[in-house]
Amino acid sequence: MPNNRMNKSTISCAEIDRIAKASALELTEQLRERLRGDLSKMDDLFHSMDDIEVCPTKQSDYTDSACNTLREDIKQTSVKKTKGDCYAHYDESTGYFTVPKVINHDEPTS
Amino acid sequence: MKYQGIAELINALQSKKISATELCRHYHDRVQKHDTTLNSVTHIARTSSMMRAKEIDEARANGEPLQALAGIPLLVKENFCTVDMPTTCASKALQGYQSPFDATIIKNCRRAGMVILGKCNMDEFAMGGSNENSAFGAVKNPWKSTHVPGGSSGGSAAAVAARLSPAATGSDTGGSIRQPAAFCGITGIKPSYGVISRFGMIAFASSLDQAGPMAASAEDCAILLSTMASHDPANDMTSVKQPDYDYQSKLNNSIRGMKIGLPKQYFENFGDQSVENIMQTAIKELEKLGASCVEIDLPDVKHCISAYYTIAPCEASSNLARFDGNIYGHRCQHSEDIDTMYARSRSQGFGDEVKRRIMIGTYALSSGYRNDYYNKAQNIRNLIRHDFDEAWHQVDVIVAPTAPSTAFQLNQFQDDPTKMYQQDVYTIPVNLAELPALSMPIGFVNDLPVGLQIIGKKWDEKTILNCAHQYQTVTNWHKIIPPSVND
Repeated sequence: MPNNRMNKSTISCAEIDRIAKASALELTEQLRERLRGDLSKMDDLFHSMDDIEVCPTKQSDYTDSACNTLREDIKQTSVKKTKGDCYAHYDESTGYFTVPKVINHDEPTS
Repeated sequence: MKYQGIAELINALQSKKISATELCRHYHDRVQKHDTTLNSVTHIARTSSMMRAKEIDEARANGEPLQALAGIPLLVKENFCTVDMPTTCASKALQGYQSPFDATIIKNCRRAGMVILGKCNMDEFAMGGSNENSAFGAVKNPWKSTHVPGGSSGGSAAAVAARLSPAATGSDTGGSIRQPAAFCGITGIKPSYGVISRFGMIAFASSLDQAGPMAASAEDCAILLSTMASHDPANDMTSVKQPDYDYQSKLNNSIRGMKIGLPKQYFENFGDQSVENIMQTAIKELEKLGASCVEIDLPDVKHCISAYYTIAPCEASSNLARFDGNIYGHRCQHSEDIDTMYARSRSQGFGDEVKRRIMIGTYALSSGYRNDYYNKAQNIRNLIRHDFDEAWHQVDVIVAPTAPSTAFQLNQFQDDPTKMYQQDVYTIPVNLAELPALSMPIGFVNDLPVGLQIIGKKWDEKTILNCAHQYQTVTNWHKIIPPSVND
């Protein structure tokens, strides 16, 4: 898709403050102004990638449409305790796990 | 001072023409004499290095078996963890930090008997291409003190060029070994990603960072790489086992019949005619040795700057989140609450360039932008990899400029640091494609060295070292010492 972006980026002071907060940085007024200019230039650099056709390449491992959003907690039905290998020895009547003896003291050792 | 490569120093030590103590003292004296101007060394471990050298001399005198590199001095870039010296990454944020462990590369060098002389200056957290972004102050180029040594391994490059040590470690995320090697007239190799363990190398951009040796010649680099490289699965999941670690095995092979690719994107519109003339002379020299050159096409490398300056700051902003004054380094004196303490400690600790890159990374990863920027950049990285994969069907190595010019003046890019990012245009594609590449000196323009880059197939360090070594057997550029330190 062609890039119809005509204007150069301008990043606002509020946006700089938001990024600084997310970066855990306190900026002086002078540095804030400089970074505003620098980030606007970097934004133009980022947007220079807009027109690059990447379709023939294999999708990157990182590309996942859902990865940029916070996942909502969805309650899943849990595996029944009587099912599944890890619950094979679960005794529903007692609520305990019973496991076979590993060492049988009654048997003579060779 | 007469030129001596590491192989010659090994012979001199083994034949007892010189002792490890004498060698160590010689380099300490040179640091004391010349580094007040250069500012390339940040910490000198005089006592511990002299003790280690003495132990080696005693062992040799007693006829005990010693490793080949026993007694060879080494300087270490500030971003490699060392138990017996501070590791600061040239940042106030890590002022006074002493690591409880050695990086794997340092362990390997110590195990091989190398004597660690001290630590080298660098751009703070390896972010920069001029070594002006350091809490220890800027490093000067030994060829012209008004010019930069390159970066971020500028201290290592300047120190090796000035013969303050026969070797140094460097790290290369976007050209930080090769560009300073070119600016200072030495040889430096960035191996394929995964050859040298990254364990103990303080991370800048984890998917791009790779350590490597810096020395006078390709032969020295091959000797050092054979020691530094190792498989380290317990500590570094990106470390990859190699069939063997003898990088000297192909050095003396003829390069007759070797096919060299010259990427048209690297040579067309090359700005500096004097530098280009020198490169053409070097290419002719390689042809005289029997190699044949062919033009190749790498159509997507032109996008490397935008891809790299998206990926690297994103990874940096994540990696540097740990430096919050809580566990490591600097903590501010006064703060109202814990969030203020984090932000204030980081702001006092980091320099402006580090803050700039953290901000760029946080912006690119912030809500709504990650897919547009970071993921797009990763896909462009795949395109660049693919270009190189296609090229390897035609050629054995690729020869290209290391930098658009010779070393530039100090403060030249102070007004617009983002312009300096364009200087990395010839080195970045190699990091994005995880390939090995070295830079070697091939001449001078206005008394400043010019470097030539040789790029190899992934895991094929031996071929690029072979190509460089054969060039260096018929030329002497790597043996020339800067006049200001040649005594």
